Amino acid sequence: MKVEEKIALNFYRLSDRPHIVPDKDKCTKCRTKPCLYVCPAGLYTLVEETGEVKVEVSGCLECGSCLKACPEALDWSPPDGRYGIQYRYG
Amino acid sequence: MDENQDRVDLIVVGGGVSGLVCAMEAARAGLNVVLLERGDFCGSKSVTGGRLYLHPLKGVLSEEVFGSVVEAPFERKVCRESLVFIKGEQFLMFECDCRFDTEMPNSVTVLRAKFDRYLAEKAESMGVVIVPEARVDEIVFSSDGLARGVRVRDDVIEGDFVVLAEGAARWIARSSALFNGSSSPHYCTGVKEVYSISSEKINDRFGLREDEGCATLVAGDFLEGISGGGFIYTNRDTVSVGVVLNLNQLSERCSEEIKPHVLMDCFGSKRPVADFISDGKLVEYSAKIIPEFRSSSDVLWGRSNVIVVGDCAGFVANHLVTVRGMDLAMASGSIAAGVICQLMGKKKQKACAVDIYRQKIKDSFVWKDFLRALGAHRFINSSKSINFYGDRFLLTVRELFRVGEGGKSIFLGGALKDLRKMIFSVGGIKNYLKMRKF
Repeated sequence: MKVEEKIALNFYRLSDRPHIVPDKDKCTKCRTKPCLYVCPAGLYTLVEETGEVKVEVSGCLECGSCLKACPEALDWSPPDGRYGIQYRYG
Repeated sequence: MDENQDRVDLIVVGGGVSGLVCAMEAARAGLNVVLLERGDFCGSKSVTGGRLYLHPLKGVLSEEVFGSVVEAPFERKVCRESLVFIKGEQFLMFECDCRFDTEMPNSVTVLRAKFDRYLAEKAESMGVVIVPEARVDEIVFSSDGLARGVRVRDDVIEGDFVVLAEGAARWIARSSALFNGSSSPHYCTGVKEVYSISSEKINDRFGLREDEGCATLVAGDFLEGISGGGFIYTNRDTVSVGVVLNLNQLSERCSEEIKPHVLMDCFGSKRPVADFISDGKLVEYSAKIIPEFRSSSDVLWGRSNVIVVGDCAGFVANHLVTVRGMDLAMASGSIAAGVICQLMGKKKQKACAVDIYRQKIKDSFVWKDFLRALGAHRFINSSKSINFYGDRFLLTVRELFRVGEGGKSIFLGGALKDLRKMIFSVGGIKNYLKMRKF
């Protein structure tokens, strides 16, 4: 099973506002881009042409790995109350 | 909310186990407690491996709250402990019965959505006001340096004390300037899959009866050199399986084959893991970060009348064969409540709360076990250390069983000679010295 299929099994309540917003300027300058390699849901992808990073927040597990790997270039907050993932097992 | 409302005695931020136990202890002692949880119920944002050790709580939690924890719906009582070492397609497994001579099991497996939800109901029955779907944005401080409450969007809820139980992300801690983010404590990323398997099948596969449970910890070469390990916990009719990975190493290595979900897949496909979960239906995919600090200065205590507990503080103890978070979290919540209750009649001394809390934690098992884990890191985080012994031991044990064309080749004496050579080599002595600090 691909990771996209695994996260699709979870229950999410999606908000209009994304809760993780990469800083375009900082991202394009970043050489290592650890965000691409630490997300357990594989939500970060590289935009080859610009060097930016995109994040598919609708599948976010809210673990905080990206926040710890990159505290400076990500505007990270947990989703607003009632939004985001709702674990049924945990 | 009405700006002129009275202050509450205690605001607890976060409805995980540390926040819930804190709230229960405080409410039990007669305080007015409000607990704010951002999920739609307490437990909907909680993740654990997971297994909870019960005995350490007995001496710390009040009898009533301890009773609630013990009666909470856990999954299975762990009666079987298993350690597995994997090298390629080979593996070595130690398993032992671990029913000790007590009425209460050593540990139980839990699923947090169910477990935390029960504790929340108990908390409410004790008088805690739980507000779900409430994400705290920051702790609000007055000009005198004391916290006066917390802000949820445009509302400020006022309280005499705040306990921050937001979990390992430390997002509110940062937005409230309790944590400046300049130090970089170490964390692990835990990835977990929950598979639905009938309880009869679980019993058959793991050799269990009724509500007995098995806990398995796995080390080996399946993580592409990333420090960490795997785990398998039996629940009632599901099995939790996952890997814990050193996040700092993931960030440094930055390569495709060490992405967390790739390593999780790799783990799940290895024997004996694959056999334990075969035909299981995946029902949930989750992750959390786990503090694994190298220094006691990475612990976040709080400030004046704000006390930090649980994962947010950093109270996790990895002792290799026992890995503990929830019991330390609950104990820290209970201790925090005790300090606050003690200061309730003495409002002028509110600012001392964090100092008294620090001292009480240092006098408790929480600190003792946390410190011991610091010593373990030197050993664990060179995955070479565990693999050094694991590799050689696996090889030696396998050879013990082999009978070749010339008849039996290696006897116990030969095996012991091999082991002696391994232990008394340069590598062996270096590892021994690392282990001594643990």
